[in-house]
Parts: sequence; structure tokens; C-alpha cells
Amino acid sequence: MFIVCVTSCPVGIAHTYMAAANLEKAAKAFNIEVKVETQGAQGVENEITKEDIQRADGCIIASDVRIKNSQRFEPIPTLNVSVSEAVKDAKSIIAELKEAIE
Amino acid sequence: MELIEMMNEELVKFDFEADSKEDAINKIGNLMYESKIVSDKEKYIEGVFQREKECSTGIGMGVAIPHCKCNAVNKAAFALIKLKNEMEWSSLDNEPVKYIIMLAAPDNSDNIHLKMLSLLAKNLMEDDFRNKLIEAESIETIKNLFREGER
Repeated sequence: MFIVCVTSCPVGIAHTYMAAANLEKAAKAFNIEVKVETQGAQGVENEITKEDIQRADGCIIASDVRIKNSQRFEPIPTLNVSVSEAVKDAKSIIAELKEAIE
Repeated sequence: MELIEMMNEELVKFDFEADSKEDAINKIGNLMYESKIVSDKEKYIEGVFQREKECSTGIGMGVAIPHCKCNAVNKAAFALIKLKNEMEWSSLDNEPVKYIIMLAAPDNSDNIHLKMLSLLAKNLMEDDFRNKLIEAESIETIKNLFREGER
């Protein structure tokens, strides 16, 4: 399984990156391949490409703000959560998406 | 650049006394001002409170990371504050806060320092790093922890 994630928060210096770290960690715990794009004060990093989306089984958007370019995820199952949820409990989010895909 | 290079010893405190979240933010904001990190104390503190209003920065596990990115900040910095008494912070896990990491970022695209602040935030998600930071009783211990983190 391969999933893609985008994290973003209003200020873009802390939560975006904490959520990203947690989603990566949680995905690893489930043995799921993951790529996390961060949209923070440093701009877009680790951008998810068309090729990534083509082979992705699902997407998680953890954000409290409108993310850039969200329409690119329309073709795949997408779970929207707040960035705080990903900071608090990324495992449950990954589990929820995993269940929805399977 | 490494985290340890960005550490400002004037902004590292142990047994810090504050009565409440508001009191703590005001006092740490004042430290930032005295260390010339921020040029406009009121504006910076107001920015931090504004961010808290949007969503509490109590990330759980006893840690809060209040922060603000605005033009009242001269240069990016972080304060490491070990509280004498734990306090309520409307945290994600509803537990009281005993450690505050307050961040200040200038309103420009100085990515190197922003990267350091986000690296610090990211490290907090590691149980080992977070626990060692919370338990540290000296600046030297924190420096060693940061050095370990770089490896």
C-alpha cells in the first residue's frame, strides 16, 4: 500500500512539520509506504507529483487551511482531518484510511 | 546550520515561575524582548495569543509550543522553558503543561532558520528527544541532546 499526505497549518512553522513526522512514523508502523508533502512557511516541500498520485491507494490531508492544489487528489480516496488530529493521533488516521481502502 | 548554533542561553530557563498560560506567554515574550529577539513586545505577544485562539498549541505529553511569525520579530529564535509548576493549556490530550517551547519567526522567507524551528518541532514528536528535554536540568544536558539529535 502507498499513501500520500499533505500537512499544513496557519503559521506553518511547527504543526505542519509535527503532523508530517507523525504521519510518516504511523505509516511505517503499519508497514505502509508514505510520502508527505508539507505546505508551511518554507513553501511546498516534498511535493506530491502526478506519478505519485497515479500509484497511490489513498490520501490524507491534515490541514486547518485551504491547501494548494487539492484538486489533484480527486482521483483517489481522500481523508480530510485537522492538523491537530495528526499531531495527536496519526495512527488512528492511518488506520481509518487503511480500512476505507481495503 | 545546526539547532545548537541557534540556541540562545538567555532563553533557556529552569524552574520558571508563572501563574497561568497568559502569565507564561507574557513573561517569555518579555525575555524575547530583553534578548532583542523581538523589537515590539506587545505585537509579538498579541500574535502568540492570536495563534492560541485559533487552536491551542498544547501538543500533549506536557508540552506546549506557542509561536508567532510576524514583523515584530528581529530574528528567529526559540525559548526552552521548564516550568516550576505545571499549568492548564487546553492541550490536545487535556493534560497540564510542564514545558514550554516558544518560537519566534520573522515575517520573511529566511528558510534556514525556519527549517531549524520546524526541525525542533519535529524532534518533539520523538518520545526519547521530548522526554530528555523535559527532564533536562542544565543547559549542558540540552546541548548534548541537540548534538545527539544531529547525528
